[in-house]
Amino acid sequence: MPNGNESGPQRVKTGVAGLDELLRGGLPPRKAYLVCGGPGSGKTTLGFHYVTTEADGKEPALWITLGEPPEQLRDNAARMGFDLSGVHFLDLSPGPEFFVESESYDIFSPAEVERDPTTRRIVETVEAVQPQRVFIDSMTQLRYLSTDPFQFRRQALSLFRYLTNQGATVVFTSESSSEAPDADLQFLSDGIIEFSFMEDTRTLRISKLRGSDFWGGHHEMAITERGIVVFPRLVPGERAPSMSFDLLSSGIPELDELLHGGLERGTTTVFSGPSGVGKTTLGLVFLKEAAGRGERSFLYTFEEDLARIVTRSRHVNIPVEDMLRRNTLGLERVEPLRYSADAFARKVLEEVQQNDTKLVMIDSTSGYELTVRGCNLVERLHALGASLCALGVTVLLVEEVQEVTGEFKPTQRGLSYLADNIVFMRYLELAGHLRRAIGVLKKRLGSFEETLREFAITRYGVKIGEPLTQLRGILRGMPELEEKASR
Amino acid sequence: MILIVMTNAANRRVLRQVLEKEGLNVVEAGGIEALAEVIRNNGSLQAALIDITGLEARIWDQCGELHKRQVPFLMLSSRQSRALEAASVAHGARGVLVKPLTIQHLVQLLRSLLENP
Repeated sequence: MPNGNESGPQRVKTGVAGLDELLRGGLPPRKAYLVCGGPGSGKTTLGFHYVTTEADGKEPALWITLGEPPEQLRDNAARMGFDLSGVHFLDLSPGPEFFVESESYDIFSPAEVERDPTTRRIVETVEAVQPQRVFIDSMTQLRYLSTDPFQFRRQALSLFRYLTNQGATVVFTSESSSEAPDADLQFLSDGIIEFSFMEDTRTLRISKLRGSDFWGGHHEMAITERGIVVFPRLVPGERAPSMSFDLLSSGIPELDELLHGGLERGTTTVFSGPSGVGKTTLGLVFLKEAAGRGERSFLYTFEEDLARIVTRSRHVNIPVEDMLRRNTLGLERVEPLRYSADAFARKVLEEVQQNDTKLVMIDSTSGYELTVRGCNLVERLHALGASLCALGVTVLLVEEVQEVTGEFKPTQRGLSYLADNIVFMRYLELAGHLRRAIGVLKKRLGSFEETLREFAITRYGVKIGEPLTQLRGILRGMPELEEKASR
Repeated sequence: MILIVMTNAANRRVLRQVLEKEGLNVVEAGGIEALAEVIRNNGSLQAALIDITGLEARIWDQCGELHKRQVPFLMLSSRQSRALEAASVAHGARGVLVKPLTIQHLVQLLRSLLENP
């Protein structure tokens, strides 16, 4: 994850969480930056952040409005918790009298009549306020004060030069349309921040930043009750070379035998199996053992509500309530439609960093997939899993496969590649009884027992049997006793 | 003194601001009656600008009156019209300008009228 350039040249912070990170610390000062996007995409909200970030009088801010009147802007900002009382406004929007007077002039073009007074008002205000931050909403309106595109380009460039020469860093919006495309503004700006809003997902992209590196690509964002939050796309960091891969016991000797000691710390394990086979319970076994070591785990459940998890854990001798009380377990029911994949990832990383959480369990990948909304599941899950592992966190993923018996599939969504370990569970029919078997398919950092074992979930906990060495055809779900098969 | 004859108050206001900024004195008339009164009472008219939009055919009588008093005037119109041009010239106008005008061009024309009445 890139860091803001704290030690480099001074930057002007936008005040938007996540955006300054993408900008390597903020906007290079005394330049002009374009914010573009469709209606409702968050351009004006970004302005609220920008003009209030250093609103303690150190950096006087000027908002030049050509659309919404200042009272309306102040009200809208106040609803999101922004106080614009320290911000200077230059109102170039049409007042109500414009409509009441009904008549408009047609003897000269507006460019001829309005340009001079508008320019004069801007100059007078800038000289009076001496702003260090200027927000213009929107430059598109100023386009109508120019007789032709060439004049507009010259006037816009001249305005930016005037403002930046006065010491201001300028952020301006544009309302691009087929009638008035903003390609010229894109060329003459020093940087471009683009908002887009497609299929319920808001994204932000920096497509230009003169004289500075920046973090490209689309990043998810949200407009919350407190303004904009940007979720920089998760890029896993490197694992520290000194990080240990000590084995985490399950607390069940037979299971540890199957895993040749347990799961390595800082790895990703997929528990795979059909519905109801015991994947969540098996994961909870590891969380219980971690709690016994005094380590904190966190379970994000997309499937079941908390009461059900607490109750059914109690029935299999896993004291979830007690673990919650002792703070060795955190548990949250996640509504996938409330989060984007990156927003969820940020949430998980915050939990890990704030509470020194050692194990994270996501139940299940089907629920998580809903947060991804059409993007690549494996890619996003890889980014989250690898980011956690780089911090030394052990990740447990619950993966449901559709087939109860029949052709063996370790995972449903091609997650094998991102798993360090795959522990699979199967139903099997034996002498007319439905039984369960557990095995290990993969363990990247160590050896494992290559046989399957029967397992059962009882009120005393998970019970693992001896290796099933006398059966074959287990993976098809229809095992036969070997002596019968060989007859 | 420049006389501006226009039914559109916004046009009168804007034109007055432009001309006064150029150091010219202005007198306004919002219709034919007001125009007749200005012509009757103001002996210092140097030139006139008459926007034909919204004015009735009786305007031509007043145009004739201005011409008789040797006050040069220009007609303004929203569209190009040969008939209007012909009628305007027949009643003494120096020419017809189609809106929107450019300020610089209008001021040059007016100065020219004032220098060569």
